[in-house]
Amino acid sequence: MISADAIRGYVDLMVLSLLRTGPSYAYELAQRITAVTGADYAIKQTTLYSAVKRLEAGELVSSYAGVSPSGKPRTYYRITAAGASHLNLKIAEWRSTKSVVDRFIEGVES
Amino acid sequence: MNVVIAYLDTMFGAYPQTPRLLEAKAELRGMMEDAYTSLIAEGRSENEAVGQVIRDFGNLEELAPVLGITADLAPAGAATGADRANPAAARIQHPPVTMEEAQGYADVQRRCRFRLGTAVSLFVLSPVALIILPTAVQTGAIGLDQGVASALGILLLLVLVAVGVMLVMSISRDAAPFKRLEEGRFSPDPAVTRWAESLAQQHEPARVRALQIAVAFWILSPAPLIALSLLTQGAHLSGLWSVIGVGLVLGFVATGLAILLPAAWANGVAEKLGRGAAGAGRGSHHGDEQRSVVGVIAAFYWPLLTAIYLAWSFIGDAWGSSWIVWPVGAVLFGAIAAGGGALESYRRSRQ
Repeated sequence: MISADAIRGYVDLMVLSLLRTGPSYAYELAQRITAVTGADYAIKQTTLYSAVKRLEAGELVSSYAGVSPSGKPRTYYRITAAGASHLNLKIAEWRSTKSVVDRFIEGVES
Repeated sequence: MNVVIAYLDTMFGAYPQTPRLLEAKAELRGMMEDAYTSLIAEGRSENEAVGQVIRDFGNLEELAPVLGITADLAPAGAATGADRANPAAARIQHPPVTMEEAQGYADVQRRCRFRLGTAVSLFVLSPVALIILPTAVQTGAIGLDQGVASALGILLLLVLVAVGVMLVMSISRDAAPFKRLEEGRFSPDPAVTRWAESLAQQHEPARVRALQIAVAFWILSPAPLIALSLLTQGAHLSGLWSVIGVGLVLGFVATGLAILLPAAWANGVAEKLGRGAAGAGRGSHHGDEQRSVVGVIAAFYWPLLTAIYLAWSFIGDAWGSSWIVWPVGAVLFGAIAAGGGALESYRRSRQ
């Protein structure tokens, strides 16, 4: 189980990467994150909500009002062009972060 | 789902209702509704679904930067005005109870409910042989030595008490991981309190039914004794019949307890979890009064009554008349329990 603190900086990246495949709403995003992470990490609703709102404030995602199949009003989010390029930057940054940290971990483990 | 909405209202209640906040509340509510619906569709019980949704909620402080609210505007959890005015009181506050702990605690209480009922019933029944055997010998119904009869009676009393104590010990062993909850060394958490209340509500009809049946048993308990005494007056072995009536009084009382106690577990859990550390602000003022009257009585009243009965009988050598303790005690118990139950329901309805 990953602690909420350890993963906090990467929730934005997770949300953006999910939105790249198409618009979605908060609960579906939470479901998809849970489906991927399984028992390793349980995202809290407030964590997800604040990530989405933060991204929206940074104009990396935009929102529009939609309606659920059962007729309930629902806010949908979609990734913007700025969001897509930000995601690419973040992915590159994550790769190099991971490789740097891995070099230390491997030294410890071997 | 009402519990979830009430929870959300509580969480947002501390903040000024700005448009941005109301929007966040509406969207979070939608998320929680979706989560609840899909959990129910997965076949979870209402209780489990509510517990899960509330556990997955997170905390509002996380939203503070997004919503432009500051943490000092929102006293977290159970902190009240009194706590802020008195920093010393705030510092000794115990860590809040978590949902996992609460669910584990409720689970133990549910598993132990029959053991508790059996143990208390055994305590009540323990003096039966000691009451009946010596009189049976005196009247010549059983061909035993007086001393042997008393010894047998005491032996049976000790055996029943020992079995009861063993049951109680096995309950405390199972409940050991939740000792701090038992002892109230925690501060209540609104989410947990609401969950426990919904649990209690769900089991309330069963508890009320059990209480009604139990009170009926307690009130009726002296009836066999009175009937036996009157019907056998002057007859052969009338003394023995009266003593058997006393045994039946205890049997009725024990049956009532065995019916009520296993049905009252959820109510006990809600009372315990809603209370928290004594003096930890909100929720504590009605805590102690609200303790299940019947539970307290069952724990102290009957052993006390047994002690009074035995002391009076032995010291005053009043075996012939001391049985009056039981019918009087039973009627009093029925009255107190009925009054206490009504009082509790009344308080509950006003909250």
